Amino acid sequence: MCVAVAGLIKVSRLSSINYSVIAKDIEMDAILAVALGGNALSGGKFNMTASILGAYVIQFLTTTLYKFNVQSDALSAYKAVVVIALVVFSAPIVREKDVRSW
Amino acid sequence: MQRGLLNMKSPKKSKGITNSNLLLIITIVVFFAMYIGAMIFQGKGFLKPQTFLNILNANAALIITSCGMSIVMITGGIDISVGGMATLVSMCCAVYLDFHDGNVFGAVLIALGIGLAFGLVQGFLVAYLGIQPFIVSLAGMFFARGMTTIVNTNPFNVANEAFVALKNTRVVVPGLGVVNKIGKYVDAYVEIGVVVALFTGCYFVLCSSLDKTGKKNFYAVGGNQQSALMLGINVKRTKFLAHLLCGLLAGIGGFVYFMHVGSGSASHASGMEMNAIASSIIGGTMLTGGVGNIIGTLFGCFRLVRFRGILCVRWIGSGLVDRDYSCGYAVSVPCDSECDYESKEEN
Repeated sequence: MCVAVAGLIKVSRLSSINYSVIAKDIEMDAILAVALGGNALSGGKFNMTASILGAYVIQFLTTTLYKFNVQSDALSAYKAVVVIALVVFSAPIVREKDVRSW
Repeated sequence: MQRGLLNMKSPKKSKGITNSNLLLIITIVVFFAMYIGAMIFQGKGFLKPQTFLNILNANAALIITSCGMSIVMITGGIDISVGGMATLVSMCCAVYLDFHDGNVFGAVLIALGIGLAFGLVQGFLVAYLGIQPFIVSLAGMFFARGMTTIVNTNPFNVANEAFVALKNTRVVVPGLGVVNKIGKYVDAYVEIGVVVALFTGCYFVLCSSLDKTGKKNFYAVGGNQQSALMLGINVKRTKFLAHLLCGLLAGIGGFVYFMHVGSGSASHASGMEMNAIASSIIGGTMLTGGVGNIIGTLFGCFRLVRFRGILCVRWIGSGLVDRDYSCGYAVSVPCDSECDYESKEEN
């Protein structure tokens, strides 16, 4: 249902439909936003406010990358690097090592 | 207490048809039924052996990547970055061959290197850092597709002579040629990629039946990780090896794809990872892991592309192919899992 509303919003902003462009890579943004919000990717923990904050941060990142004249196709590579960095730092083993080193 | 005794005393059923064998048999039967049906109802093109060989030509890369995907899925993981890797390999090899005047051998090394690099990183993140394989491979896929446009923005055809000669090499299949309309005998042929794909498939089928220990590790890790750990199997290393193997095979598959299309473009191999997953599942591999074999995957591949080929002939030029294709699988996959469920209950 949320996806339907999102599609509605996307189409209403552009007043046109082009299925390969209009919601490209939105699933990557969604996963990034949720991961940034601190939700455990394996499930169990959930915080809606944090996810919304994460969505704002992702849009901030996207707009900043556009300002740096990055092409829209290449955008996904940078976002993928951010995802990997996020999941590595939130992995239990890495967190244990950080706590021990403090 | 009495129930426990009763269970212990129940006679062992003969292991005639196990779950994965049943799915494999269904897949093979459906494949032949579809082929014979196509030959009867749509005749003409399907009666020529070259049609079947053309299917192999176009989907050799899919066969190779499906083998790798099956190995990862047997251990309980998943790797959806194989399509992106094929695209990246195509673009990098194309740029190397045309803009840096490389030779074909160097291009092969680049393909293997990219595949190994992806496999190494993803394997490390999944096995040793314990991150979900779906997230890691999703990020890998987006990274690969993004890098493709960073490497070169525009799609182009490769003009390197040695490579074009390699691409156009036809391996003649003796005895299957037909006489065409002007009376000339035309040999049936396959491309080099098909030879590579069949060699890879045969290697994994034979290798897995010879090396029982290695094969057992993958299935054990996929079946139940805790039990595998208690059996003394190095679970982390097994998962790492599975992802590494999948990455390597995806690199080889990417190069075979590149040999078939002969160009570099960011829109290549779209949906290849989904086709590879579908082939594995049709062939009897389960998403939860622990079940599956390579022969099943190979037949799953054939069935998948055959089905698509029949639909393309039926609905030439319209978008209805995808509709029938997805409906066909929406119906057949639950039926397959129903048969599997029933056979489990019998056991």
